Amino acid sequence: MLRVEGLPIRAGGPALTFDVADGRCVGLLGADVPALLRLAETLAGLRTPLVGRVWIDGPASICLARAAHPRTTLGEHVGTIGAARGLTRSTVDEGIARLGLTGNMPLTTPSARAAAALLGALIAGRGVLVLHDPFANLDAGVRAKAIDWIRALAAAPTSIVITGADERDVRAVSHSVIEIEAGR
Amino acid sequence: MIAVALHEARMIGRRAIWPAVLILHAAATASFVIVWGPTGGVPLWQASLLEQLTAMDRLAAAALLTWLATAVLTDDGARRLADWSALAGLPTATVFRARITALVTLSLVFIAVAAPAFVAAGEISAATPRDIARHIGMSLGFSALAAGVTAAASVALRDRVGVWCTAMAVCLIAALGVRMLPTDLMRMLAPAIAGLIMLAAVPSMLRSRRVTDGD
Repeated sequence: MLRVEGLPIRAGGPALTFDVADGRCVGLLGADVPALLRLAETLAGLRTPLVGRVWIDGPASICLARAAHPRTTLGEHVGTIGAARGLTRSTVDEGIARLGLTGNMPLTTPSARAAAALLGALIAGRGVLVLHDPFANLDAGVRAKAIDWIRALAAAPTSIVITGADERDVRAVSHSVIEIEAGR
Repeated sequence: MIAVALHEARMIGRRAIWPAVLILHAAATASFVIVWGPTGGVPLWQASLLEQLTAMDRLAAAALLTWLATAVLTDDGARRLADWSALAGLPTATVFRARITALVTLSLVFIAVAAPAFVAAGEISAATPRDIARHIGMSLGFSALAAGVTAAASVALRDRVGVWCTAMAVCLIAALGVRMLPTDLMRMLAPAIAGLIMLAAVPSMLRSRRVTDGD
């Protein structure tokens, strides 16, 4: 369960108030991608809001491509997240296979880093899941599998927020969409 | 925390700076033994070659390990810590402790590359294996101190040069404080070096404070 109250997307901008119940996925669609990233970080607890409030019920996880480093492999990156979150190695390996990837894939390309970031969030996927631009740079096959996985998570007791500028991506998995630029 | 510490150790080990530090350390200690071994040590320095090497190694650790730790700990600033805190679902302090654990563990390797030079210096000095092991152990302890001091400095300061200079100064002062530098020559040199380093760190500290105040 995630509750947002009076949180502006940018200084002086319209304030957002919405709830994301368990088993729901809410999309935040807008053109200002840096502002959406800051918003996603705030929703995941990475930033403290100066104005407004965010309540997170349960553990939160976020999809962060910048944390996936080219010196690591997919298995190392996701394995570290999984181990820190108390998941078994087999769970991590199943997750990697679910997206049709291999653990020894080096994170040297934007596509690999995007996949690692999304996978890191999805394997931890319980409580609140915040996905910022999750399908950017993803291969079409991985994208399709990731969409299926997110839809499956949304059927479980997980609250999902997806932010981004690509309407097709945001609407692909969201039950409802808030269009930021329109102020709705 | 262990998983994140392993990840950090892996990340540090794959940086270009890591083999550079190891090669510099191995080369410095080996060169010292090769150059001064035939004469039994630096002339006018009333200590055995092993003791001289141990003292020199502390200066190397104070410079090289703090350099490595600074590069690692100040990389991407606090953002990377916060990112991994969010990804791993751990407090930022735990991620930071994991990074320090990785650094301290890697300092074992830092000392290990100098072990052959210690053994050679010990044999030239006719030291017992126990003495050689004691000197290597003390160097290891000092290396861990250097990593810890740099970690503390990186929390207080944001500027990379400031962190490095401050950590070096504190390491040298610590070495003096526990009489790890055994000769008069080194006792004269070390305070001068520490003073210079602290002077060099002052502008960085002031700049760091201005940035902090401006936030």
